[in-house]
Amino acid sequence: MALFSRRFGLAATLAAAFAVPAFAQAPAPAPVRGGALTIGVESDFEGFDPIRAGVYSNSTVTAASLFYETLMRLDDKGNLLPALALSMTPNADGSVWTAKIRPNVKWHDGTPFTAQAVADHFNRLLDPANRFAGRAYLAIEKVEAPDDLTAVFKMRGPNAALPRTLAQPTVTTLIIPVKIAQEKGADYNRNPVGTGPFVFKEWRAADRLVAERNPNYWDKDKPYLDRVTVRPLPDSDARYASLVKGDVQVIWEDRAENIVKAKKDKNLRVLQWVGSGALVIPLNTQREPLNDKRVRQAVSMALNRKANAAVLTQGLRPVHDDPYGPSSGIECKDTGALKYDPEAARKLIADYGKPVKLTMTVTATPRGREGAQVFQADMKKAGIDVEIKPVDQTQLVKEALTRDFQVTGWRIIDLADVDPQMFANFHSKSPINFSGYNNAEVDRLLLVGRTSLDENKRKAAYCDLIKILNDDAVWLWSGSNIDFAITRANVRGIPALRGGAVQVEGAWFAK
Amino acid sequence: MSASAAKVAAIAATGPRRRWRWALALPLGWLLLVVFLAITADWIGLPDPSAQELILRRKPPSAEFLLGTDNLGRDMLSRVIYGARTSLIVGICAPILGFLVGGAIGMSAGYFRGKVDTLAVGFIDILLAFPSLVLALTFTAYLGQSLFNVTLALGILSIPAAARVARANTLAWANRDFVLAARTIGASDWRILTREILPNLLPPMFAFWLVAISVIIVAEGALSFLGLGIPAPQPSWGGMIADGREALDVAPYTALIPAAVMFATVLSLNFVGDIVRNMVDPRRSAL
Amino acid sequence: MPWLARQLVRLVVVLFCVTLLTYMIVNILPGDVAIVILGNLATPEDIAGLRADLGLDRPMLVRYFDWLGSALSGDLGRSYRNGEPVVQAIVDRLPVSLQLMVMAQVIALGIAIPVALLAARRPGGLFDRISASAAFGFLAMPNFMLGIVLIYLFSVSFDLLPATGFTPVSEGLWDNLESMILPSLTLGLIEWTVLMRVLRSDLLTTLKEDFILLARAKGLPPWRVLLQHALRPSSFTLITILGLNIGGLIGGAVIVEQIFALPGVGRLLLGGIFNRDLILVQGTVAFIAVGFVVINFLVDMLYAVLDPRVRHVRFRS
Repeated sequence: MALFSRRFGLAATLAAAFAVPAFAQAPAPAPVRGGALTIGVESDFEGFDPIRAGVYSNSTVTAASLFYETLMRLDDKGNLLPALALSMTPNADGSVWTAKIRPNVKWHDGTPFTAQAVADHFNRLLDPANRFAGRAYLAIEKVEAPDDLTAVFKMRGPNAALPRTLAQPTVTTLIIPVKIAQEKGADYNRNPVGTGPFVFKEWRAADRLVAERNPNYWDKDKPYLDRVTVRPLPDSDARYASLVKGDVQVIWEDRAENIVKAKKDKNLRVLQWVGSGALVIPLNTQREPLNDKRVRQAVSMALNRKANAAVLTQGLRPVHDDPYGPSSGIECKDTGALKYDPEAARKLIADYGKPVKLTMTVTATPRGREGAQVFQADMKKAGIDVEIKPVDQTQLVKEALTRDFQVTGWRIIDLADVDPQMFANFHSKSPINFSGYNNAEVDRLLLVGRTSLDENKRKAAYCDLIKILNDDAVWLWSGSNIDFAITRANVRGIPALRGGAVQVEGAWFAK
Repeated sequence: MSASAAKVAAIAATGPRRRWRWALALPLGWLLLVVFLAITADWIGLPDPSAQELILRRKPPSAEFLLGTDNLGRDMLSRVIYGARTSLIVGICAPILGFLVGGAIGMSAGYFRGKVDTLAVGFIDILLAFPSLVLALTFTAYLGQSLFNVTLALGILSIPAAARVARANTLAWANRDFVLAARTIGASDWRILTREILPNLLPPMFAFWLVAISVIIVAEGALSFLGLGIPAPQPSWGGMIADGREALDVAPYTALIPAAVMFATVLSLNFVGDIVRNMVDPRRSAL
Repeated sequence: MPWLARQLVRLVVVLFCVTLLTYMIVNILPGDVAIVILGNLATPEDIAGLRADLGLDRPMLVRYFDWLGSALSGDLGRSYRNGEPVVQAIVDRLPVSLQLMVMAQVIALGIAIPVALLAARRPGGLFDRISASAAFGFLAMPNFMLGIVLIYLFSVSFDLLPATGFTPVSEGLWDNLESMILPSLTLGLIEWTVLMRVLRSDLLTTLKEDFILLARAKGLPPWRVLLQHALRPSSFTLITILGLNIGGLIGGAVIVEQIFALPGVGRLLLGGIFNRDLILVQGTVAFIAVGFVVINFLVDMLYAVLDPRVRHVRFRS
């Protein structure tokens, strides 16, 4: 992540990528039962009631997927697997999906898990009265439960991506028992109940969350571990030291320095996952001087995106010319990306005729500072003055929501389908179009992407779209979404880090 | 950071010590050098402290880069010297602010006693009980992060300590014969405070101020670590240490060099402070 | 007014001012908890609705006195952010902060007292000068640096202590102490410098007093003079500083808490401010203010114990 804190973007991760296995699993011998695993994550948890928590950081998804589950699941190759649903089948045009619910699954309190619970969960999130912000991305109209083992998803329109969307663990897709949550009220957020492989035991805020093996788990062999502890360790270096020392056996990590070190360490293994989406630098097209296309193009040409990322992330984070990411399945022959060319940028600025001064708003974190300074230095070479404005996370969101910024750092999250986010970010009528971008042709292409059932037509539309966006220099793509976890060498069975979450349902310790 | 306030008061309160004239040269020389470089930084042919060459990041000291380069490939020597400017501005100005306000409060409290004293003590209690974190965060978040606002925040945090020193010293002077004499000839309170007491207050306050500088310089580093310090790319010693900390094993010098410079400066300030205090210690001269 | 009554008035005034000030200050910060909860997809309608639900749309002073009213009846409310009762959050974290603070001060005193005694024996001597340099060295060491160095030294290289994390006493006293040694050391190694310098200088002053000269004249060995006669009357400033340190550390150890992942009050407060969780910040600040006043109250009492001549005198530098 570059310019902003992790929790961003992960805010409402809804769907899974077309999976690309980013690391090979060792040809596994039979898993061994037993053992206690401790995971070190970056931040404390918001809570486990989607309405109250609002967003789940990737730390929270790591914890939540211990006791919550999704309807479907993706393996590392991207194949759909059954989870709480045995299957999901569409009607003819994909506007209605029917899920067959797994029988004999029980919540941790012993009550049976039924299709009604699935319907309650999604309908609760969709109800505007509950103000669940993530509903903006949901293409579901409502969910019905004609019987205990059938859940029917009525979509807002044809939608091919639903099963994959529901397979990635997020604040939306991890199913909670609404009935129990309502009974417990405000306390539920801190005392979750689920169907998952581990039963919530305790959460000592800012210290640790402990979950124990669910003996009644529907998948009889799993989980292999007896106990899992998740600990928020905010300081990156101290977190790494805890792993080296062996206090924890898995950590989420994003500092290139530590990852490079870990790759050389025989006692450690590095897991990595390149998702869809990208790190981005949005330019506010409504504000002087960025409302002038020449200035935006100059900024785009002055930023040495690829070289910067290569040095700062020590080659770990690839940079592409679109925000789709390798796992989106969209490959454009021509992205129309403006080449790095500080001279041309200078000329454009000269052509613009007035001195250009920009303010870049970033989070007051080491990462925000680093990215902003690199941006600033690049712009200086093209004769653009940049002032860095460090703010805290809340203020950054506020400035974005109120379009009270010129340049900032953001993220397009790892989603299976690019439509929800592209539409939200660039459609002129979208309430969260931070850049205030307004282009009729882009609006048209976004609608094609949203409604067309022809996959090739959609891809072509997105490739046409990227050409316009790159030429207009609305957002700059500063790096792909890539997530790392480091484990002790004897930890096995952790799947792809979708959305940056570490899932340990199938984890075990090799002897 | 009320702990820092305590620190300042504590160190300032340290007492008589044998004069070490011979030991004055080295720290004083260092301080003069640092101040000189901080002032002349623009004219001694240093490279731009924020000029980056990413490919040259974290290079060890060499002929080209005497102190190596930092995490963004910037010249460490230049950054240390420009950092001296930032750190000294904050370190010198913040306590001055604290002294103006705190000194006035402390003097009034020590001179007028009674209700004024109660009020002043109450005010200082409130400042001390108020979490400095909230104050620092608010200043930087609401007013924006800038050299001025960081200095202002640290200045406010140094008010209680300054008030304490001023009050204690005023108490000691207020009953001296010359003050009583001035009062009998009908001098106004204002006149007594400014003409009789203040001049005697200045030497110990000066010694205290020297020590306060070092505490504030370190405190600015803590703010930088929390992301609340002087905004990038302007260097400060504390901010440089915080940046360099991320690469302690790959490029330890990126943290150690600013740390060493800060250490030498803090050491020098305290030694000089000690000596100044010995020359002016009221307890001594009162005997 | 009797002393105790005065202390009570002081407590009330400080509490009122500090909480009101905090409330006003956190209120003017850009953004609010509604934005934190709804995140980057928030629509203006949702934000307005949530603000209304949380009561954030009412005038600030009304909210403050509401809070004050329920706080006086013992109810500090629930965190806006995650619904945790504020009292619970503080009660969970306070022991960690208190333990950290006490252990840090014990370590600091453990170094400061012997060093100060040795230094005061021969002021200007070699030991005095070395200890002064060492003290200033530690004073110049930022705690975020010292912390990570100690982790690499004691837990990674020597494999002696856990790198991060907190173990409650209920899981074993030794484990608990082990988990707190490095954080306390980080604070203590910086704090001792101040205590040492103060004690040393007060010792030097005391050593010039008549009763010390008398004790010397009686032919008592220098060590007994230092320990039995000089130390006690020299510890006033030391105790004042200790009181201030402790007050400051309750909420001010946030960097150390963050590095060592300790669930202390400092991180609670920092998170509260970042999340604009006013009600949590208020409760925490009130607790810290009470702690500050109470500790300084204890310091006043200690004065009386140390020297019966001194009553009511605090605030002495």
